[in-house]
Amino acid sequence: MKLAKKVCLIGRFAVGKTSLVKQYISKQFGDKYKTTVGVSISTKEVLINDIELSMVIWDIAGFEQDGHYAHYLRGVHGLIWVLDGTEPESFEILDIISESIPEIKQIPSICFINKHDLVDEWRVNDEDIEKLKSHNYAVLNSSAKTGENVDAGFNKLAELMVS
Amino acid sequence: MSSERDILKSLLLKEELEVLSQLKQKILSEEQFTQEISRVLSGAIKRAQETDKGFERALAKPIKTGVTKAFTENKQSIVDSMLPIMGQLIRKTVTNSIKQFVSDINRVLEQRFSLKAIKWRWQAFKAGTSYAEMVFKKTISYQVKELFVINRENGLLIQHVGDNDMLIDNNAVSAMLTAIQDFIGDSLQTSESGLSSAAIGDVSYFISLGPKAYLATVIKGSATERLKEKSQQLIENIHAEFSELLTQEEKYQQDPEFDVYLRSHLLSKSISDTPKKVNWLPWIIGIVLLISGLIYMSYQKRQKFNAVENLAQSIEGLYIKSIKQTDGQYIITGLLDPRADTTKLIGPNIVLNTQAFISLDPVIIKKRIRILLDNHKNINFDLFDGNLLLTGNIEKSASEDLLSELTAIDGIRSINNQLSYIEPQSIAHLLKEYQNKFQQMAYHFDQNTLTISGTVDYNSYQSLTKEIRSQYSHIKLNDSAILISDSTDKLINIVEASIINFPNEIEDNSAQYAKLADKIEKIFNRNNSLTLEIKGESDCYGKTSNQHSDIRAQSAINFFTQRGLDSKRLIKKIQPCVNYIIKPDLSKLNVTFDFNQISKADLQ
Repeated sequence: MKLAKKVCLIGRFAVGKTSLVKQYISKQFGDKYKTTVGVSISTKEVLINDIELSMVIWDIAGFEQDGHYAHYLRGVHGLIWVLDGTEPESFEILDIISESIPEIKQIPSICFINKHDLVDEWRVNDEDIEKLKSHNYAVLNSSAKTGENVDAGFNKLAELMVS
Repeated sequence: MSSERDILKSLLLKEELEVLSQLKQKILSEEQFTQEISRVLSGAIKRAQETDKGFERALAKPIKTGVTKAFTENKQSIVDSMLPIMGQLIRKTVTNSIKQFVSDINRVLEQRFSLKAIKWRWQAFKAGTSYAEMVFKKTISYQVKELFVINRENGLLIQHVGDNDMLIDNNAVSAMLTAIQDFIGDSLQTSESGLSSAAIGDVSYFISLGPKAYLATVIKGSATERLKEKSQQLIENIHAEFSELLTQEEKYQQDPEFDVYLRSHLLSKSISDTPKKVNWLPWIIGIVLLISGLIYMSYQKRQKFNAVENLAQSIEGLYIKSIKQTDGQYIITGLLDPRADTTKLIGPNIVLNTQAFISLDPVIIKKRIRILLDNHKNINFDLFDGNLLLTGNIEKSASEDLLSELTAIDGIRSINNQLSYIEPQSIAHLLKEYQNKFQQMAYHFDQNTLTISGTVDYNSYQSLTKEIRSQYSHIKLNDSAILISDSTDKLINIVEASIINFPNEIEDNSAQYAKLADKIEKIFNRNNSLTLEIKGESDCYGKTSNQHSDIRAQSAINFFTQRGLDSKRLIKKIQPCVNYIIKPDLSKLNVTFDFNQISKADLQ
């Protein structure tokens, strides 16, 4: 059986969304930051429980303006929240979007706290973590640079989407 | 206290204080500070960009504001700055458009006189549109290469047909197409998708929206609005016929029926614009008939032309340079001998545009010969390879002129003159003059020989033959049938047969001598090689017989001499006596004559 699912990555600027996708798709990482304009589309074929799943990954440009992402999230099957451990402010996006689009909570989702390779610079406190857990998302400390938990996170979401 | 401390500071930190003072002055002096900062600014920005990730974000907003302000306040300057780039871009675009336009015009011109053009004219006539519009419609070429049916909400690909590039993920394409629409909606702050078409090079995308899905049509070439309408119809039909499929994501890209349905809409222009299958049979029959008709007309025309050409070529003395058919007339140009017979070419459809020349065609040469021989009915001729054979009769006097005229005809290389010269009229007159001198004169002229018969005197004969031979030296005279009444032989015979008898010793025989004298004179005159032997004869009775013989012969000589005859040609001869007789015989007392031939030398 073949299926195609739309997956969106959400997060503020420079949290590493594109790098995570690049790591997942081609196992590559670039040090230079290039901002995504609009949205970048990638696909990845995975086999989940005899289902050939084509993940159509929408790497949406960093959120700054309220509501500008609404267009891109329509009909989404899975969400990947990307937060930056070095910037606790990036965690705010979860609340902002969840409040503006309440139904998004029903979408299978996972959460990457990225840049775990810079764990020494992390400024995340316990309060932030607790708040994050309240959303009931699977949370993974990830590193787009080292590839830590990247495949696991995407595969976890794939399972959630087909289950 | 303070002053003491200041003194102490100045003593201990004099140099540092001076440096600090200078630094303070630099910082406080705007000009100096600006100068110092400008030295390190580029390096500082570079380092900040490398080390501080927030630096670019921090700069983004003021730069954006600054650029916006610059565009707002200095429009003209911006326009001037952009002009070299934009102008080039615009020129390139315009050039490409003109190239396309010229290409279209060329295509139209190429089609102008084709069968297709006639068909299009007919179709334009039937449709009530202009020919130009029809040509434009027909010559715009495109091909629907791919069709994407995409879930309108999430951008998932429902079905794709068309070219399958292994390097391109159709799921990604459909997602990107959706994302682009979302991006536009995001940019324009509108919930409605504003993207209806996009073009890259000669490839265009038409987006036709439906309630649940939209259709992305990939077109190569020049698409038309009509095709856009068709695309819209297609997505509407898809919603009507495959509505359930559009929402069943597990069936996406797996429905063969939908695949077949979509593939039938991968169109090329020719299919889309001519939905009905064209029945070519009437066209083929029509074309075959048309071609047959044209071939038949061409054949007829050729036949007529060939007939005229053959007719013209059959005319001797006409050299054809060209035959052209203009306005139903055959214009023959070339060279025409005035003697050529062109009566066959006289007609309303044939015009001779020729120049005169002398033809060496045997027929024309014969024509010229005939004209010259028109007054010579008894002459026949034959011409073979430039050799002219003349037979028949002609008067000698006329022949020379005729031959010279014939020789002057171009194309006659030699003349074989087998002409017989006929009796000239003057001979007839001459013979008539002598006719009364002849007894039963007759003559005829055959094969250049004039035969005369009859009896005539010697002088007349001599006179006639002399005249004929002198005046008509070319004529052979046959006079064997002429009997000369007083011919020399006759006269000689008469003289030699004459015996002058002297019955008496002295006898006057003048009368007899006289009769002979004329004849002898004639003979002498006619033949000066003759001498006359005058012989005195006796009966040999008595001793004086020889003497008397001499006297008698002498008497004859005397007489003839007196009559004027040449004494040298009169030879006296004595028949001497051998035996004498005892009885006289008077019959033997004679003088006889005998002509002898002597040589001229003897005469002299």
